Amino acid sequence: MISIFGNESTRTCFGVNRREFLRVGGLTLGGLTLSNLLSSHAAASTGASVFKDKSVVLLFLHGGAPQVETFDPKPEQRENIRSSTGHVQTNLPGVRIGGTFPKLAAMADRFTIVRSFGSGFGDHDPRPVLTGGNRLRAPIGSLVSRTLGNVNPQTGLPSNIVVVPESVRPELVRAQEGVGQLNDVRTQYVPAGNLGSNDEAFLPTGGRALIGSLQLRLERNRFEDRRRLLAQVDTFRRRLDATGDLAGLDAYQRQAHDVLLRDIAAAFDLNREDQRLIDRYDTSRYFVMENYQRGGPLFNGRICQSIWTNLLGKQMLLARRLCEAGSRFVTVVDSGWDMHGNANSMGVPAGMQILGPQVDHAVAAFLEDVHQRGLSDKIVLIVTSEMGRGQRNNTTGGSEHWGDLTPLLIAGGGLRMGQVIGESDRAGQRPVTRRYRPENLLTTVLQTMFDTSEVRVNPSLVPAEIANVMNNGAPPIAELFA
Amino acid sequence: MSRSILAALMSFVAVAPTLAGDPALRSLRIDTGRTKDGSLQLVGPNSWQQIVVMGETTDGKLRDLTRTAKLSASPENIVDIKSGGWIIPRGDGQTTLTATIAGKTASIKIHVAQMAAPPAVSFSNQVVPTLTKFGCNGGGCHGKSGGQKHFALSLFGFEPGEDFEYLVKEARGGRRILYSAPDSSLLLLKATGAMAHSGGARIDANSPHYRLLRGWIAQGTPGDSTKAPTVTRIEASPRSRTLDFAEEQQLLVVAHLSDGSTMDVTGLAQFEVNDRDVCEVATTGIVSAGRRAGAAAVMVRCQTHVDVVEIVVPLGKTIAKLPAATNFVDDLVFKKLKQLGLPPSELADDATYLRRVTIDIAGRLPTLEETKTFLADKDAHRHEKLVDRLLASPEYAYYFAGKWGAVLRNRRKDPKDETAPTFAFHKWIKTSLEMNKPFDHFAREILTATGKYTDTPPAVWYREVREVSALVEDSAQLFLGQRMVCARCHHHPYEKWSQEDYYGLAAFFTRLEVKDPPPPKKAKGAKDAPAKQMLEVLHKPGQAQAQNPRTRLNVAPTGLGGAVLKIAAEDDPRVKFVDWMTRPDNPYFARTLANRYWKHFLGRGLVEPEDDMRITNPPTNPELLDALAKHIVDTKFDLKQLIRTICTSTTYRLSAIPNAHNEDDRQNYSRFLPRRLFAEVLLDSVDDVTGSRTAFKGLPAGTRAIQLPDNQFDNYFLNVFGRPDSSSACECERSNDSSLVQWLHLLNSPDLQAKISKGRAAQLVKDKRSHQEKLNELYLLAYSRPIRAEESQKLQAYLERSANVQRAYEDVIWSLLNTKEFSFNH
Repeated sequence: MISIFGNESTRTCFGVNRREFLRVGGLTLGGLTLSNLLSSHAAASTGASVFKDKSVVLLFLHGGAPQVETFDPKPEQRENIRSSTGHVQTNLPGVRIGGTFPKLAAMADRFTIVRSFGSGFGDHDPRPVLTGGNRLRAPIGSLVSRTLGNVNPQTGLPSNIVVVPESVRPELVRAQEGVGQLNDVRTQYVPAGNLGSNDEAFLPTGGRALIGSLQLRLERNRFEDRRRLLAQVDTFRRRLDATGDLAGLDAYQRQAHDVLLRDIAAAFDLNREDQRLIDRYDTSRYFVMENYQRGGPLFNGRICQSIWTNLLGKQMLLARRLCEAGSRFVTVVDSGWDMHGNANSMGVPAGMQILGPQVDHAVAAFLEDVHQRGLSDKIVLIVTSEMGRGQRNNTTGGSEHWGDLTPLLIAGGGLRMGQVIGESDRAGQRPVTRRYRPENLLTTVLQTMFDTSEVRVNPSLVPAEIANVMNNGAPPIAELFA
Repeated sequence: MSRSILAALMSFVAVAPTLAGDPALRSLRIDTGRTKDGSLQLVGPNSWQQIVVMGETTDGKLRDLTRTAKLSASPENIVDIKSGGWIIPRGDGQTTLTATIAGKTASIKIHVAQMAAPPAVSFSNQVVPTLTKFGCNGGGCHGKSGGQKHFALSLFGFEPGEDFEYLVKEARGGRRILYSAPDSSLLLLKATGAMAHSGGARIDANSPHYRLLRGWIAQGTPGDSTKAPTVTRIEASPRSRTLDFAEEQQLLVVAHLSDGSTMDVTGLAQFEVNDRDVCEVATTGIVSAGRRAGAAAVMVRCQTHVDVVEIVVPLGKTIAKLPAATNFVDDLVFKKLKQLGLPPSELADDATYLRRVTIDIAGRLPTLEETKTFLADKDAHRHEKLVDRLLASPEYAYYFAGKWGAVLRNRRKDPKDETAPTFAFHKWIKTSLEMNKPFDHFAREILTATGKYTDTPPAVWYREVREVSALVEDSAQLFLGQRMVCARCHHHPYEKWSQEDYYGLAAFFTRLEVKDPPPPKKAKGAKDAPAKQMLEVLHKPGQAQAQNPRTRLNVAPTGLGGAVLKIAAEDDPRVKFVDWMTRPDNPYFARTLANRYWKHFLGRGLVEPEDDMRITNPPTNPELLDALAKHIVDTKFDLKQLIRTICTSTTYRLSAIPNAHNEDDRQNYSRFLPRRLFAEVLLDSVDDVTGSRTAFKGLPAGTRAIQLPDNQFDNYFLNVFGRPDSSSACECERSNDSSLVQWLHLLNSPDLQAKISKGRAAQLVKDKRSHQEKLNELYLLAYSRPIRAEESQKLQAYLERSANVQRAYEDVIWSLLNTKEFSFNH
């Protein structure tokens, strides 16, 4: 049933009313108290009516993670083709993944691997994957922010967040420059393309415009003084209250006060989690960061691996926590995946031995935690990279940038799990089945999060520029919806 | 849809209004919408008829008594009477159907024929509409591209030929259709929910719809023969109806076929109402008046055909006195208010009017001087004189140049791009408005722009609007109020426009060449890069035509609903398009402008959204829209006169404060609708009150936000408050919604705090006047009105209590900026 006149069309094909659903089930997501502050008018002004109440965690392995070492190990091929870290049999018959991922192998029925995905781009820029080439040049997280509002109206949490190692260890000191360092994150992950600063990702380490206004500028007393003064001055509202013309405004204003006076920092505070859970996620034991940095015992005299951090477990825990508190798109950046085996970076075997087990542990802990909380269908996890890697050089162990194939793992969100989609050629360098591109991933995400078919017949359900993207997209990765 | 509809369709449990308390019944009749000479034909078991029993009371009111009157047929074995007044044929013969209530009777004759040798069920006229009615081919279900669970249908059944393929040919050998046992066909088992169906149980096995689908399968799933009659139009009745609160009315929908026959499609049509507070409509076609007075339109749709029924629910208050009408606008608004019994608010006071009209025409707050002068003016024509002053001010041209620049997509792709083209186009728009260029000339110069943009600045329009599809869709939306995009790929679901109409428009834009070469690279060693080649729009002589992708036939240039044009190869077809568009009798052009400007000033379009003037989206006051359009044509598309007419009307001067009766009114203009200031106006106003000025990179100091030539000047405030991106022709890009982030910004941003503490607050501390005088000046600045005694007392007390006067003034200014009285035009 589609709506001809209004924006009221909230029924899905399954006869479920989205708002009813939200009321009945969706709001229990997360442990925060949710007050129904906003009038329905205010809620209807965003894409809320087509929102399927899902959050996405995008784990980005920055640097160009090798597809063969991760989820397409080619065990029957010759030495410099097959995974240098071996392979493990998963709990799905006939499906094997890279040798550094035994924990994930034991739960392969909970995710789906795409072996025919390629970013189509061969350099250290995540934006082709993040944006799927949409004409707004906006990362998916920014599109989501524009659709739903850049702050969750119920909880005050920003919709679109990028989590870096500094987010879980503020005192961490890394070099500012370098592939996947903070400067890259600021210029490549955070900006919202043509959508402008309003829909930029919130980077919980430093102050962009949004974080500026989220932190109370005045002493609390003076702010409260002003608030009382405003209540005295703002008499106009009372005369118009009955009309509903200003409906929602007071709610926003009240909520703005609440956000300012509320410790939304709580959502960013991992210490509020159960210590046992923190331990389950913790990846700090996999390597000692300082060992690989200048002055460390494993420092080889040339390459300062200050981009390697052992904090991915906590980053994933934070991502889950933020989703629960109402964030809709959390991008987790893990760096160090550039493995040329030259003066600037490690080769593949060495790099994978360090970084692979951390991903294995952190992602498995995340999937298990989300599963236990019954949130598997509500949270989509995507693991990918800005590109893949070419064939390994046997001497250096390094390999070059490669855009034709890129690792891609997807879990949860109500999508079809336990599959291997697509197939690569013998060398693990090109897809031999239908090639999937970032534009297909973009549609897949939008279709998972929103009722895009509803938008097709009634574009006014979402902001015009979003409808434009949704209605002009490439096909999704069909097998996930089968 | 799903269970609620199903239940409604099955049971017809609807509470009909009782006659208790009503005056006595004077007469009774039975309507079918297609009775001829008192009798009705039903042919074959797959036909049916919805009837409506209408009574008229002695005081002249109509009552739908379908669900309360007793219905009987004599003889009895010819038809079955279902609850709700649905008549199903049972056996050949003739019978008399009689309705009885309160001692009155009415009857019609019904002939039933061909029950034993039924005519073929019509695939296009019966089967497909049934699938549409139950949502099977909706965009969320089997109608989406690729279908659902390996069963695809065309979206809303607009392509019956494809549906026949999917249902019959593709399913051959499968279980979707079982000729040997029709009831075991998957199509029916899934639809009734007898087999697991993600879409749920949709069609009841005892319903006439089931009988229809089953009958079609039992007949061997006949397709449409080329001679089969097609539906030429549908007609809903009653055409209009005035309902009391909570009263109901069953609608009737009749399809007229190409062979002159008619059929009842009430049970196949879809109904939707544009204002659910006024009335609701059930899938059965029963309209029930809601809790709010007003007018609503019920849209009735059956496949590609649409019709509209007007429903009026009067408040029924007596209007003691109306303010004096100033011009025809008021005559027509007040006529509607009288019809609805909806008393308007009082006139707003002069201070409110001054602020309101200055914001709406010039995009800024009145200055201190203006406010003092106007409030002291006792001239009877001071309002007219004010409007004229504002229209003559440069701010008027700037403000409206911004409005038009956004929908004309005057933008840079990247903030780093050269500004010359957007600046040139902006200047041209502004100058056109300043010199009050007739709007038809304005549109013509854009739509026929030829040459380099330096000579013909509107050529810049073609940078963003370059593809034929964009040209069709943008020009239709901008100047004709028509959203054509649906018709690019299929018949428009809510309009009469087909792909043929779309490509008829497209043909006008097929002889166009837009040259916009990328900037040349600087050669190695060269001192300067060679000059960039200029953006240029050219007409390529040749036959203008566009291919309809469905028929694969070329379509000649044709205005919407107009005649096919023959255009010589050397003529620019765009000229002919504009000729057609700007003719005085064009039904779209002047109306679209009238509605767009009405919305700007009154806060709600007569048609809403203002650039979506579908036939299924009728105006709330059609007479007023017609009169405004005529006024525009009569004054030769004089924009300033249009604004003068609207802004000096009594309607525009009504207060936003509701009286005891009109607080719910948002569509009849019985009061002014308050709205938040546009982003640019709000930023300028904040600057004016705080005594600061926002700096825009690359523009001279002192440039106001409404003067920005395009929207690519980065500014967090403007983004947060919903400035448009200028990336489409839709006014909807500008967001006037509120958001949490906006309030966070106003309440707490370092940016705003800096403005507050730097400018006026510091001055006020040094100012030797009394607190009272200074506070009054702040109120005049922010609200264009003197401060009230109680406000002054409270604020003076606050100032005197504070140890730090500068901080206290900052707090006062902060408070003023955060009130709704400030951020709203009211």
